[in-house]
Amino acid sequence: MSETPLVHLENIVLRFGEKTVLDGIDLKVYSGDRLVILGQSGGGKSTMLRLILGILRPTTGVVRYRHLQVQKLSRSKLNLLRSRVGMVYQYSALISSMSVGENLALPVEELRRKPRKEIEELIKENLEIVGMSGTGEKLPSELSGGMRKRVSLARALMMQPELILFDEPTAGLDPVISSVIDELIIRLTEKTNTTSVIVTHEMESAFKVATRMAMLYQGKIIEDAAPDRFRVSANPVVHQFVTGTTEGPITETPPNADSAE
Amino acid sequence: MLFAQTDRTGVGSIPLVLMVSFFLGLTMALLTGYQLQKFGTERLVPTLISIAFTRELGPLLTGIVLAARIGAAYTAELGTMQVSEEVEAIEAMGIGPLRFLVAPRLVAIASLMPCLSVLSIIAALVGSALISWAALNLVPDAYFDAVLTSLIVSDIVIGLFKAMFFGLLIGLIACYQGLTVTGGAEGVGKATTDSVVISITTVIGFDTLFNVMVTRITG
Repeated sequence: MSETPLVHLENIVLRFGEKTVLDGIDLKVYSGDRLVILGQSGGGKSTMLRLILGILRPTTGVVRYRHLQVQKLSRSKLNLLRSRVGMVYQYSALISSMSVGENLALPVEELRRKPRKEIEELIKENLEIVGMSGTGEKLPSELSGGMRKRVSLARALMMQPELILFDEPTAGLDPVISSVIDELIIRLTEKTNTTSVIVTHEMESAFKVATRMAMLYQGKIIEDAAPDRFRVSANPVVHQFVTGTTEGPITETPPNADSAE
Repeated sequence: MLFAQTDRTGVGSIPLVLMVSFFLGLTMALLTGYQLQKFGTERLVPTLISIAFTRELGPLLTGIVLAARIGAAYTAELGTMQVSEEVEAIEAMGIGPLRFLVAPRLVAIASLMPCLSVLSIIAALVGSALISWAALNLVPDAYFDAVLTSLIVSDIVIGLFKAMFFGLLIGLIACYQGLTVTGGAEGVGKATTDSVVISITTVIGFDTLFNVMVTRITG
């Protein structure tokens, strides 16, 4: 592909003290991609999402968003960039003291200052998209894990982002709800032509959602391919991860597990 | 957000500030009154209470009450938000957590501390007036006349300025402790305790420093 990537992680090295979490990552995300990043728990996958958002800064290397160098942006420009990127957290990260409706209204009220009526319509529309109509008055604590994930996705959609980052969107959910979330991701990204980066270690979900898959292992991207090619990869690490066997090069949790995610 | 914080910090703290100040004023008047009675100078009680509370005890007592009640709440709230990734989510949306979470809390506590301090002074004066009437035979009219005679504008201004400064200190310490929490629920508990201890110690420390400076300047 010769087009300019939407996001380019360029030779990224990230260290936390002595521990090297990412060791020379080079990864491009193109418009329209549904890129799934796979890897062991604690391997640094979620860290990559935080680098894209500028929440973490790489030790060396460059994070580019279109032509912008993320770590060189001023605070106001970084906030502007973040408002164009939606993030769905592993544990939803909804503001627990605010109702579902208030959670959804928050980014629009704070950043766009639209009229109240317009915000209400946008809330209704986005709750409908994720199948959560009528829950605007509820508190996050009154919702199940799957419902919270869907509300979190609706909140991410409020700013009409061009990129959505998903951190373990199906972790801890039963298979049926996981499928609902997967289908929602596919339907939404196709309908709104949104690019997405999905971090997961659940293979079934990954193959269902991905248009491209990358494998992170020991701080490096060791495979980056379309799902069909990824499934039959000759790389023994990828093969072991896809098949889920105990025999192979992956023998233990990554050394940076306690700090990377 | 600012209105909610102001309501909780200010209106919510009124009963506790009034009660604590009323009883402290009453006790102070009683104890000093009995001592001064031995020398026949119990009429000095209103002067003593009014100066002590306007310059010193009103802001200090309100500061201690707010450090325990509001500072702890700020730290626990922000700490819980921090460990559940809510603070990061706010940052990831492009909303500055300092502007959205810290600024309303600081403005609320710094602006309401002087108001609560005034209420504290009034409650203490009422408490001490009542006990002076009951135990020292000082009628309220005479008591409040003595209070008005002994109060000077600079004492009131210094007291209110101190109250605002203490509020700012408590808010800053509480928010900082909350936003730097690590280690889950245990971390939140530790940060909340630290917040109260550090706030109270800092307020008393700055109060002492302030008094030394003011005494030096005014001679």
